[in-house]
Amino acid sequence: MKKLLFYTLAAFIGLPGFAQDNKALEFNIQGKINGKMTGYVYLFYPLGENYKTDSAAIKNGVFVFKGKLTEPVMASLAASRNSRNSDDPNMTSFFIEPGKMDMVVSYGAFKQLTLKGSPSNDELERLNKQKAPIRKEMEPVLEAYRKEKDHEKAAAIREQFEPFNERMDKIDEAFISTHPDSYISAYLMRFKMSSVALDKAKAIYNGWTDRIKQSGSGKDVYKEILELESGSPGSVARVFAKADINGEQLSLADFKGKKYVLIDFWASWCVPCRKGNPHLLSLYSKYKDKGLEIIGISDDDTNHAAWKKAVDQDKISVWKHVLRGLKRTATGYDKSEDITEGYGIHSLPTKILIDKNGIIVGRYGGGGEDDAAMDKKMAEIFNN
Amino acid sequence: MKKLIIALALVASAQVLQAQILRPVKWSYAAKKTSSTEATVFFKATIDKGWHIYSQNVGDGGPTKTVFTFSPSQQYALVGKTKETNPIVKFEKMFNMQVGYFENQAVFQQKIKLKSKNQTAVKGSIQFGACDDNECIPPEDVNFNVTVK
Repeated sequence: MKKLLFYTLAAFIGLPGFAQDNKALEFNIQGKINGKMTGYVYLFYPLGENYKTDSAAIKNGVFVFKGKLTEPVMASLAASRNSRNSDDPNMTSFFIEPGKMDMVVSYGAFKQLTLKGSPSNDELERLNKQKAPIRKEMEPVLEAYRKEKDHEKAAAIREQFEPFNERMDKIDEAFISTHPDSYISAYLMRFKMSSVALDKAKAIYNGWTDRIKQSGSGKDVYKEILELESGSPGSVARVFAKADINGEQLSLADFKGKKYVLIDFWASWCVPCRKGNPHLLSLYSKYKDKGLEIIGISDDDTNHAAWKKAVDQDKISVWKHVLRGLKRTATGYDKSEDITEGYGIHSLPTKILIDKNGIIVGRYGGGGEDDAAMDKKMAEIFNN
Repeated sequence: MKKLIIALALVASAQVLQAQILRPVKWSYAAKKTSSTEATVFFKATIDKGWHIYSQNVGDGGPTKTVFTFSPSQQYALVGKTKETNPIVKFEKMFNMQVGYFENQAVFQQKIKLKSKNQTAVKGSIQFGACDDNECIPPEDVNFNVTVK
């Protein structure tokens, strides 16, 4: 007989969790499976910091899961099957809630699962139904993409995804703005935080009911808003001081009252960052005598040689360079001297423009505006 | 029939880290016992459309290669290097080198020799960086803990 066991992923390296102030309540799933009389099914769901994996024996096509939850969460159900593929037809995801739920699933088609007793899942299903026609329309493009072996041609096909994704994003956004008391809204919002403008994210968060703000996803969104805000226009730029690429002491405070500073979060290994360097160089040449300084903050703490080589090769040694300051430790990372903390940096390149008073006046890339907006802003500042 | 053990990293984590707000790569794990003393551990990266991660075999000074680190254990020994599916290889002028990378998905596998008859825990971490055409996610470590029964 084939034995199959599922294990959850070990804890990710993480931030300390929030204190659990929500009380755990019981849930109970009465399940029916068509096409399978015996064996096991497996349920996975987050529980505090970790994932809980539970198994239930199938007896005459019936199974039961019991456990405790503090709030509705995304869970997955899978059957015993020798597949390592997450596209497994015998695996599906849905929202479960405290209380009693009834589930019906067919062996071989888990994705068609029906679940009663979870209002959050009902909302998720309504949302998915709205997106279904777009998914269907997109299918031929996806199929073409899967079949295309040539990398360049595949990249061209990929660009055709964009309008479909945009339409689906709009549906998500409409859902979020009309469902301020839905756990689905908070869940969706977490994934959108890297692309939504700060003001919009704040407006959405402020509109949520208390229970959504207090949910796991709600708290994640809040933390992200604080972090992003500290690196966005209107905030005081967090001062950092480091030895620069030439071993000289450099502090952001040195430029206060003297220059506008563009801090450029980049890395030698980041191809999109490197491709942007010629443009930065042209801006620098144009405005350096009018009061612009650039400080490159590179994510190259593990390879100083590569950092120096990239600075030389891209001819950007004309401006200031420091390392991000991320230290590896035996157990993970030491971020105590990490400059990116306090600027809400999740992706490279991200560029932040700071005025002579040390106030952030622009954010480009990484959840901010695009390079065209940066060019325009600089033209306004320096050509007047 | 061979035993198969599957570990799943669920995509829908409600406890995603701040640093992983943008998460274009999801990892899942599995282990397969190939004999009474040998097993293979599988690592699968599912990569969002438009994104890519890099091969383990990128030269020094190139993009962020994928690195597997296995915690030392009395229970098993590594057999050879971690194998990977064939990457797409492209000459990157910026680094003056051939760069291998993966789109959509990548599967890595590591053979191990079991030293114990008991259940064996294979622990370690994967370091990887991901990029699309416009941006990169700084390398991060994801811990794994796969049990071979």
